[in-house]
Amino acid sequence: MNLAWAKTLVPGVLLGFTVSRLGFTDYAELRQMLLFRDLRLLLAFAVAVGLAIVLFAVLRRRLALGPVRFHPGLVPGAVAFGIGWAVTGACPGVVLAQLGQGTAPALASLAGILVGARLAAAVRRGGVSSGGE
Amino acid sequence: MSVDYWPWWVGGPLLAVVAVLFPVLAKAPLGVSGALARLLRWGREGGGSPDAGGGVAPAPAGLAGCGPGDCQGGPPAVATAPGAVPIRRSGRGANLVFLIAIAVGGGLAGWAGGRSWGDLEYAPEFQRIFGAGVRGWVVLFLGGLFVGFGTRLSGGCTSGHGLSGCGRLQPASLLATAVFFGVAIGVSFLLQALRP
Repeated sequence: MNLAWAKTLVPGVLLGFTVSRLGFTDYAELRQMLLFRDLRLLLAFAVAVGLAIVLFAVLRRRLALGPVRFHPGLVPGAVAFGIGWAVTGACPGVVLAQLGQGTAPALASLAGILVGARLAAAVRRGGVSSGGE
Repeated sequence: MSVDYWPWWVGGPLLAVVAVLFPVLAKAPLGVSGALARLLRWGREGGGSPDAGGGVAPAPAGLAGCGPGDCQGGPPAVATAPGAVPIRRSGRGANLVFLIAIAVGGGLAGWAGGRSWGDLEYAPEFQRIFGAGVRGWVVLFLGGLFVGFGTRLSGGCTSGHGLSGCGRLQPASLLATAVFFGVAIGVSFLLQALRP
C-alpha cells in the first residue's frame, strides 16, 4: 500500500506551524516587513533561503529535482501574486494556516485563490503561449 | 499584540528545513500553490493540453519532473503526457494531506502562541486600510483572485519559488521571487500613502 500521503504530513504541519509562529499569518506583521519597518520577517526569509541554498547544495545529487523553467506567465504571474499578497497578506500557505487558526475571513481569501487559479488554468489552456510555454 | 512571535534565527532555519525535508520525503519540490494545482488538476499538468508544450517527459517515480509553468509543488498527481505511464496515483491524496497539514500546523501554532481559536474579524490593520465586515471579505476575495491567478500563472508562490526555487538557485524562481516581493513592497507603500 502506498503511504506517500503520510510523507507530506510532517513537512506540512511544520510549514504551517512555522509560518504562523513567525507571524507571516499576521497582516500587521507582514506589512511591517513589506514597509521595512521591522526586519524580523525579512531576516527570517533571508536566513531560510540562505540555509536552504546550503542544504540543497549538499543534498543535490540525492534529491535530483528538476529545473524551474522560464515561461511567459512567470513574471506576469509574479506581478499579480505580489499585488494580491500585499492586499490580503496571504500566500496560499498562509491562507491555510490562517484557516487552521479559525480566521473566518481567510475563507474569502481562499475562495478568491481557488477562482483565480481556475481562471489562470483556463487562460493557459486557451493558448496564451504558443507552444513550449 | 499579545502574541510572541519567533525570532528570525528560529523560524528562518526551520523554513529551510521544511524546504529540504519536503523533497526528501515526498520526492518532489515544495510548493503550496503547486500542490493545490495538482490536487485540483485544473489544466492537466504534464501534457495533453495545447499550452503544456507537449514536451513534458513523464517523471519516473522518484524524480520530480517539472512541467513548464508549474515546477514547484507537491507530488505529481498523474502523468498525462500521451503514452506516459501513470505514476503516483496516490499523488492527490498526498497533496490533500499536505494542505490540510498546513492548516493543522497553523492551528497548533495558534494554540502554542496563546491565541484563542477562531476570529470573525481580520487584522485591525487590514480593516484600517480596507474596511471591515462584508467590504473586507470582498477585498480579501478580490485579492485572493490575484494570488490564485498569479501563483498559478507563475508556477509558484512564496514556498515554491521563494523557498524551494531560490534555495535551489533556480534563475526563474529568483526572478519570480524578486518580482513578487518587489511588487508587494510597492503596493504596500502605495496603500500606506493612500491610507496613512
